[in-house]
Amino acid sequence: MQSMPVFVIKRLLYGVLVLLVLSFVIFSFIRVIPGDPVRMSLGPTVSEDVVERMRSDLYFDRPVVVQYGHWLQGVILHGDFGQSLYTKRAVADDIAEFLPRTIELALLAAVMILVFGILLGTISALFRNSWLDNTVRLLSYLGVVTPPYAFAILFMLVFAYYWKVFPLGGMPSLPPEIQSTGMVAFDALIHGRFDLFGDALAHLFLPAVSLSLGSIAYQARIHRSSMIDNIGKDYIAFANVVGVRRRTVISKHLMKPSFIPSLTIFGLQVASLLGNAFLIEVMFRYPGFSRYSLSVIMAKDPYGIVACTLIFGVVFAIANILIDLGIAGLDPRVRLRTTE
Amino acid sequence: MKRLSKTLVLSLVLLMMVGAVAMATTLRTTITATPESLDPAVTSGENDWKVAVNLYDFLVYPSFEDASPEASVAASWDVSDDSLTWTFYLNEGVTFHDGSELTASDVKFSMDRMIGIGEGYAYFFADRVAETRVVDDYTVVFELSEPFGPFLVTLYRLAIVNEDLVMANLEDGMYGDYGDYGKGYLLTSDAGSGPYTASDFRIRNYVQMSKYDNYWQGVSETAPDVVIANEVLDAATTKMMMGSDEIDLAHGRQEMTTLNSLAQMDDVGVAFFPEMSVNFFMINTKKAPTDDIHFRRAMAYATDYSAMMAIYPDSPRALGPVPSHVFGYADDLVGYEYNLELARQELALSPYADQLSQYPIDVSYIQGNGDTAKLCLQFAANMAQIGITANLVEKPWVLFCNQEETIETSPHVTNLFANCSYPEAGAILELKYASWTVGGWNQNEWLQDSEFDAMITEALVTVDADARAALYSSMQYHLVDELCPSIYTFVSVLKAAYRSDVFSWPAGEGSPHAIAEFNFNYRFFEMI
Repeated sequence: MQSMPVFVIKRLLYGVLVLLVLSFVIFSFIRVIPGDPVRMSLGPTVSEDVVERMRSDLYFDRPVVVQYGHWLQGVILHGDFGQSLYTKRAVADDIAEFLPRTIELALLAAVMILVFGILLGTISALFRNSWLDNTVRLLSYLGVVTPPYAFAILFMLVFAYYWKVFPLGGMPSLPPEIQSTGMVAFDALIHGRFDLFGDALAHLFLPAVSLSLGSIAYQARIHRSSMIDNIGKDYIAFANVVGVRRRTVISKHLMKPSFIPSLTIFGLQVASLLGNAFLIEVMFRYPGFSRYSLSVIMAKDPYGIVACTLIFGVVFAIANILIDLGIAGLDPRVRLRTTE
Repeated sequence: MKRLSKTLVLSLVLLMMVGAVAMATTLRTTITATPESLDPAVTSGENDWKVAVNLYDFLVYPSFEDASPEASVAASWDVSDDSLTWTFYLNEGVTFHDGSELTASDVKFSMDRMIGIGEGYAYFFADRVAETRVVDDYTVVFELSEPFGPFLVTLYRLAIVNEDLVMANLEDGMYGDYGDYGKGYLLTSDAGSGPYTASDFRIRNYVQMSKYDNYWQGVSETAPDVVIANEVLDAATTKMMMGSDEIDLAHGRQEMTTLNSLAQMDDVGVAFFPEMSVNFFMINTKKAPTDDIHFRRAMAYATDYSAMMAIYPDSPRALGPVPSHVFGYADDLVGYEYNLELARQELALSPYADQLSQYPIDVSYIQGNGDTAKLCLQFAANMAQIGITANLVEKPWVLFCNQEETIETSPHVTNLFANCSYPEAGAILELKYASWTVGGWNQNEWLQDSEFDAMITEALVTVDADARAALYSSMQYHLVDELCPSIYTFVSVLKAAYRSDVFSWPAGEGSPHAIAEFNFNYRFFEMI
């Protein structure tokens, strides 16, 4: 028998263990791949003495276990993820600059997925087999099969190039004096810089829509199926027979259980937004963490790669725990199983 | 009445201020990547130097026409009879962006710092500058350990940094008393005296520069007040940005289809400027079958140079490793021409002639590197005409570099552009063929030829320009006629699309600077 906090702590510990193993494996792979990242970073004309000095400074002249131990110690004690050979500064600084922007983009996309996915799924289920249902199903099918970059190109062409309603890409920079979280729109809002907030939101909109459309479509399909399953259940029929108002049946008795599979899918979709943002960030020149991750991988930047892997791992682990907690909150049977 | 006058005056002042703000001009450009760092002592990339030439000053500045040295921070200079002591006399009144005066001490600090860090272009000076001495505030002396012919032109890469500012911003680092030698600070800030200051730099995003109004040589009022260089690689985005007036100048490394689309837009012109760079098919001279000189010559004769140049239109033919507009080019070099008959004759002399099916060759090129994939396709088709099978292998940059670490892993042939880091033949000859530069992306040839090594060493210590040029010429004949380690296709020409209704610049007027990066000194731009 275990309480909910114990369950959460256990999950967290599992997560940490998995991340430790993952980071060590990545570290080892990077050391095994042919090619010296330090030499590559400095170029062919830099003397061997200088390369050797930097190798030593970055622990590349020690066994991989020693290098990993030193890195892990830095991460745990000082939040120091090492030095990036790609940006030539501390990886922690890179994370602090790029990650909040992607989180902001992912959050906006997540809100869109949740709101529009659930809304469309609900409409579709309630008006099952009507023209409305058929339209939503067709659109959601199209949404699922269309890759995000296709949406990105389409939106850029229509809304940015021809109609000029939104900017073509990029993101305004955040003045240091109003930097709190690193999320441009959010920081601008809380500091009352509404001009910057509007500008940032305009820059966020098309990438967020491109990123979320496929997930909205998928979410709508899952939620529709889930609702249709539950509509046929006895307790819904009973509620209808005893004269419970339709609105109450839908909002109280139908929506809550229908949320359980939707929430599971939603959690995974949100976690994968970071990964899916690779292309979107590149296409919209959005200076976020996914684009950064792609760049450090291409540049074979060892500390950058490990840090990115770790961050993605942490996001997935946290998302999974939150999903479990969310489901436990919605479904008493899960709560019961957890505590028994 | 008095109050009314005051109000009127205030309104007028306000209007003038608003007018001044409204008049501020901004030039928006794209670059293939933001600088790796704003620190001129650690960088050597094209994009880094497009920015550095705006932020920093140099003792001497390359002339527009032929990149010969002209006075800049140094009003004059002289050299001792033994060519070991170079004395520079500085202009007075040169100020850094913080208002302090640039003196000889800053020059010494900049040289010492560059050598101490050992990155970027430090290899020009590391084993050659024995000591830098400050004689007085306006006189600095470099003592060389051996004569170095191109010393003056290598000073184009010695950007003078503000010693006090750097020393005030030291962080912990690996350079003893100098901590990190200011690398952390100069990563995103500038400490220069150039016509522009770095006003905002977001790594891998954009760099913004603002005009330095107190620039000692003066900056024209028509030069852009602000320059924003955005990192944009994607062709579709570039076209849309130009089409929707979001950029005024696109970087010069577009594919031809993109460039043609840009050029067809209203008021978009294209500026051409040759780089000190040649496209090479680099042949591994230590691996069968390309270790045989006849095999290599056969490949050189079988290459259809006209077809290659059609892929990169307007690029002049390269007959050897040195572009024709670079000092030290061998004027009467003949090179190779497309001649299948001669190719077959050479191939017949090769010991591999009867075993071609057993010796297919690998041809490697860099993923996403302009139209080089098309060059390699053309090359493979040409080789097939004489019975050589060429297998094309596209590699990301990282793997492309990795493969060059050993002779065994280096492919038979690779394709890329190699550049002169200073405007002399010696720069590219050393980088491409000296035995001490093997193991990197720059030398798939693995030439390791002792005769060549002796020649380049002698050339670089020769101070007399004519004698040095003669030595450079001999080396080119030796390479092209006797060794044939590479196939030279054409000289790289940058083609930058720009909004001719927004600004004009020397490169757009047909007077480009001899060194490509120096075309982007925005002091010489005029906003319309």
